[in-house]
Amino acid sequence: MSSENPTWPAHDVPSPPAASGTTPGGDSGSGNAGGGRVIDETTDLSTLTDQEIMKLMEGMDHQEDQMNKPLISTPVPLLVIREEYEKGSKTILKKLDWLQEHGWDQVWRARGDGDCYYRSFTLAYLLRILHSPDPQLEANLAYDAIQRALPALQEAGFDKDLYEEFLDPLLALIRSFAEGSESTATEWAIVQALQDAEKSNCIVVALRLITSSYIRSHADLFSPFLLSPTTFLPLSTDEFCRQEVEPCGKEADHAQIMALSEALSIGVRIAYLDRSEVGGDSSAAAAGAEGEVINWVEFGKDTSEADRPLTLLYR
Amino acid sequence: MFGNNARAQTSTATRRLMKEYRDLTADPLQDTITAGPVSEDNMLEWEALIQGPEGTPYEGGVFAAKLVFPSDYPLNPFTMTFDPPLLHPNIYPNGVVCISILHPPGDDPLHYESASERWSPVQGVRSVLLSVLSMLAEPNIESGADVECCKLYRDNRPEFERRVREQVRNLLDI
Repeated sequence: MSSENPTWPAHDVPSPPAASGTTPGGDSGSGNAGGGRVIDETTDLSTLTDQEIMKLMEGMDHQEDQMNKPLISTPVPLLVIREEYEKGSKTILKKLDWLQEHGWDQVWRARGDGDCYYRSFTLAYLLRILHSPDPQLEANLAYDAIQRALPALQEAGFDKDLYEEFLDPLLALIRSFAEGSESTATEWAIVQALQDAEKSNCIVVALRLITSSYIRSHADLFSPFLLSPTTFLPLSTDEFCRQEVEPCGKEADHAQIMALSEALSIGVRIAYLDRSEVGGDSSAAAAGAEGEVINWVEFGKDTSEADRPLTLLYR
Repeated sequence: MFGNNARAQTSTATRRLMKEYRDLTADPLQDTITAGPVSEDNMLEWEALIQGPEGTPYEGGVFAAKLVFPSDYPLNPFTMTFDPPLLHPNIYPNGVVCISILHPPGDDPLHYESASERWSPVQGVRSVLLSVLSMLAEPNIESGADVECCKLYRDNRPEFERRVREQVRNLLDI
């Protein structure tokens, strides 16, 4: 595989690619509906019978086919994602077409196992280094950013030996980028590391601990927003971190994404592939207002194009 | 949950368990619990001895349990089995302990435990055994493992306590 990425917009600074994170609770439970009709993203949710809802929930829990997918895929054309929506929502197709036209024409897919955000983040984080004008400098900056996040882990009470072990695979990759090693500073090395269950899951745990310690050390900032995703009741910082951040398989929501982005000082923008009409005023969209088609959710200090934020696709 | 292609991670697991064993030996859990590998050759199998907490029907008993660690520990939790099985609402009749902290995050079929503590790689033998001690003192019949025992505990506490004490006496005779 070429480490050159020919698919980026012809901007001076290529942006990192979109990684597609499909999530178990995501946009559709198609294929699991069974029974009489096919339920997909176009199905009116209010028409679902209790039985159908049960079936869909079972499908979410088992995810047999999910577990056979690679943790992170090699890049696929965005058109492959588009095909899945061909018979579906026009709004989603419009959003996909916009992405395509603006140069976002390939995605790396993450397995929807609840860790997909952390894995997609890692992929985009590492590709951003690799495709920067000066990868060795960027790698050193990333290394420093991670080192700066570590004192908070110790303050949060995590054992040093323990988190260093989890961090090791990520730091090893970044070190090899900093050394400019021809054989390891490649897209293939990143994908390989993230497909290797041991390394990949260690990195997920390391990022979860960084996220958790950032939330813990900024409790005043986060506490109003820490809710249980199942009961919607407020949780204490400690409860939230123990239940929703530190255990693997727990999905990242706004608070976690924000915390990780702040902890590593990296902007993240997520293209939300839902059916909402963005911009509202259709005449403005028709007039060709840039970026009105996609609802970007942005995190962190700087998500302007020039700062090359991590760009992820959520659906 | 890490699915079926989670590769053997035995070396990580072994290193981590060595460290936990060292820490437990250096700083034992009061006098109520001892735990360690059954044999030095296999760090993935431990035995624990737990003293019944004072003021409970388990008082006076010393209970042996087997801890079996997966090869991808500490990403996934270990299992804990009392051998012989112990009569308790949160212990299956085959001796397996059912406690939220020992459940992998994805394994939550009834969404019962969404609001309670579960396994994460920062947990370890020490934190789990402490949870088991408090479980012995305070059974949780909301998410019981032994349904008959739950009923007994709820409807006829004196009979439940009598049976536990009888079990403790029998254990001591062996």
